[in-house]
Amino acid sequence: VRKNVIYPYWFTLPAMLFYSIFFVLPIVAGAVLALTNWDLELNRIQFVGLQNFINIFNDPYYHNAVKNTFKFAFTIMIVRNLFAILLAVALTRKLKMRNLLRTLFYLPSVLSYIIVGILFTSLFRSSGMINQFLGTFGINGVDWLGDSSMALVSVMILDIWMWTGFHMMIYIAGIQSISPDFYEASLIDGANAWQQFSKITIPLLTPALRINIIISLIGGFRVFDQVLVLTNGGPGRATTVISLLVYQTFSQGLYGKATAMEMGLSIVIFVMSVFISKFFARREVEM
Amino acid sequence: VIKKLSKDYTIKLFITEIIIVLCSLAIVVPLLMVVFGSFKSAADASQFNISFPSTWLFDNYNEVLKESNTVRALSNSVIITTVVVGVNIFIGTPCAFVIARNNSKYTRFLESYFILGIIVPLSLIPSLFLMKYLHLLGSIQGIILLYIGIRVPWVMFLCVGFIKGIPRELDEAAVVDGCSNPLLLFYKIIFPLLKPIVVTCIIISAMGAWNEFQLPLYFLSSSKNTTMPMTVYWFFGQYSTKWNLVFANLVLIAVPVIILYLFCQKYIVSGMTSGAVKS
Repeated sequence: VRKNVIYPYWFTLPAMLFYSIFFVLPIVAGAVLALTNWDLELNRIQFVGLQNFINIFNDPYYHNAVKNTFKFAFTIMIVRNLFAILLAVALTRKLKMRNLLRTLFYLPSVLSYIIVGILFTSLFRSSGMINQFLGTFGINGVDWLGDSSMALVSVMILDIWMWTGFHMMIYIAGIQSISPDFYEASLIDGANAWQQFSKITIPLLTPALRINIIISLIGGFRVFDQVLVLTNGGPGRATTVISLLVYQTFSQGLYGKATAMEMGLSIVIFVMSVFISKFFARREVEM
Repeated sequence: VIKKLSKDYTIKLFITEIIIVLCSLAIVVPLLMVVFGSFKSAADASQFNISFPSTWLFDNYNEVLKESNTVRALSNSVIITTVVVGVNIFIGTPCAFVIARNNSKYTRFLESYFILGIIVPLSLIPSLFLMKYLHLLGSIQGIILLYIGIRVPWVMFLCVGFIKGIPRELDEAAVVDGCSNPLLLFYKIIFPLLKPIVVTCIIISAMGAWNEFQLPLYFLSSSKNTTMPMTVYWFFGQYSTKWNLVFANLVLIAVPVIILYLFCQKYIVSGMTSGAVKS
């Protein structure tokens, strides 16, 4: 009884209400709107059942967007984490400029996508800094944003540049929480650096690994701003990802269809996060 | 090895350091190009290199600020950021306190209920419908409400874990001393102890609200109610040949965030990583 007096439930009400009305309610409403043919221009809204979902599944543009989104999400997940682990291992050693370097690598992740997007628009120009740099080695310039086989890679480069340092910080915290005793004991057993890394650092980094994989996959599936600013989905539809297709569909006034696409994306993200959490939870128990 | 080598700066560490410093140039050089470019003439800036400006044209910044929208957008961004951060802390921390202290069905439900908000993105189009219904479409008030909804789960995520680390005996001692009013207990005893995590929440919410681009794109289409990131987007569309002005505009949005980051780095990093590594 006393618990309810000093920890009253009404303390939770304001946060609960704000969150329920302005975050959860739209999700619930989305489930209803996705079943309508709501169209802003024709000013109509009728119940059409699963028609939107059937249309989406038969829509080659949607297939293309799903393919691009998956390619993007899994590639950046792997590359971001790989680079981040390497940087974290290096930056937990006693380097002279360690703190400065950590600060620098983390810096891009606090910037707005619009800043990074426009910055990379300039870097990827034919006369831009990246091609100038390649030119000093006698390498021919690449058409980063205009070549449909390169454009998605260019968006990935932007993303990896921006977020690797963020993941690095989480890995650094993870490495610092590993007791040095493990390394000392392994030295006595004659372990080399690689064995230490693969047998001690990586297994004990599992919590950091899990959260980093989830964060990078969620970020990858939500990808929007980077693409909008850098390529606007082009050339052709080479970099059109799901959330950009949602925006384009929304701009055409096809609200019902756009809602259905949006819902599909949310479901994928949710299922994926739960799946990864479960996967790691099982592994952690085994260890 | 980590422990052994750290005792002296070996050749191996030196080589590692060189490699990492070279890697960091990939971050530093493009940013320097933007900063220097923002002081150059249009022709010099579109050379896209990191040479020093031959003459420093501080006037570029005046020209960007003269754009009627920039000042307006700046004040909008400041208002949105301040209100979102204030409300989030005000409504978020008491809720986190009760979730952390009670272990009932309701609070356990709340905990996972809020986690949904961290995983799943905001449903944009239904939110638009909601805003229209509330006659808040295109208004600053509307976007503030949506930001609060998006950010509250983060405050919860960070604060619940932190409060669990504060001994419960403290509350009980306060009650014994006659402080049985929950509001007094929370604001006089607990809230002052939350300072580090509250600072983290303030910074993370502020940066999120300041940087956000997708929501204003959907919800604030009119130029009157635009935010800073939006002005750059439109500005870039209009002035894509005047890279000096575009760069100056980028610097204007980045500077507040970078200053905040450099001075409060400790709080940002500890907040971001503590939650992550513990859970």
